[in-house]
Amino acid sequence: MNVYMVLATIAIQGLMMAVNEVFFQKTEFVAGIGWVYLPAGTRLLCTLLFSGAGAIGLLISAWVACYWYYFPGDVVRGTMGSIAGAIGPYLVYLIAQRWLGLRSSLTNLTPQRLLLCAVGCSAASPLLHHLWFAVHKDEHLASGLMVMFIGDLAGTLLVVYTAKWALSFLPAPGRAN
Amino acid sequence: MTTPKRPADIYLRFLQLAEALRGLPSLPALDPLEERILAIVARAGKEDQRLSVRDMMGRKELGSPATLHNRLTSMREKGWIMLSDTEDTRRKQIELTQAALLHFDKLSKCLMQAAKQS
Repeated sequence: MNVYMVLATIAIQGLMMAVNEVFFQKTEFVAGIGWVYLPAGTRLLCTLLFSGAGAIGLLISAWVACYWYYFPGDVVRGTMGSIAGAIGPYLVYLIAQRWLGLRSSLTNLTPQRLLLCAVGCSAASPLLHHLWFAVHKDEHLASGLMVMFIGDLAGTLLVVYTAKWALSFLPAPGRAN
Repeated sequence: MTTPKRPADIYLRFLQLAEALRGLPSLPALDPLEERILAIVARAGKEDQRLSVRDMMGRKELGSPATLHNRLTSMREKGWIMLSDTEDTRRKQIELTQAALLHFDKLSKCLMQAAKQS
């Protein structure tokens, strides 16, 4: 386990949560569920880049954020929320490896596969969250699931397209000279 | 878990991820003739001029009607232009899509920036 990868994930995820709070807090549907959720995008990128270490970093950052910010003092909600948030993308990553043949080196990661992973992560995390909410007998399960899926997908697309835009300022491989 | 073991692994993963990100779908590029058509559509839109498919086909400098028809179809599929209804149901107005307008906004910004630097 590379500690630096875990720390890098925590830093990136923490920063993205802060950015999301600044720009999209007003789009919250209910506490913790928004119409745009940028950290969903960094979840995907960190999981693809750091795999297991990324998942651990996501777990820690999500738990800290849930326990101290979103649901202060609620250990159970914080733990379940962080597990759903971190395990969902990692499960999608494992499924992509098994079913899509995605290599851990990412050498066969095509834009189409990346988009599939984005949709998969945007569905997995809300599903896991709402599985817990269903056990907990929460109300508004269907609407919450839909908003969380849309929020995660919108956030993921915003992050990946911002990354694509940022990369356009760097020389493309093979065109460096 | 398949955590990369060497720092080089992370860099190589990053390169692959960057390559996939660069390839994400966006507004597809136009060929030179399509760019000329786009400029004509943009000018007509700006001046609120009538511009139907037939009007475009009347412009001989753009090539044969078949070539023009192919290009207009291609530009519609790529998301640069759209055909909207007019009061005459037989005539469709060629207009820029929102994505094409954003492209022109971006070009304008680049021009302004270049003008400032010169």
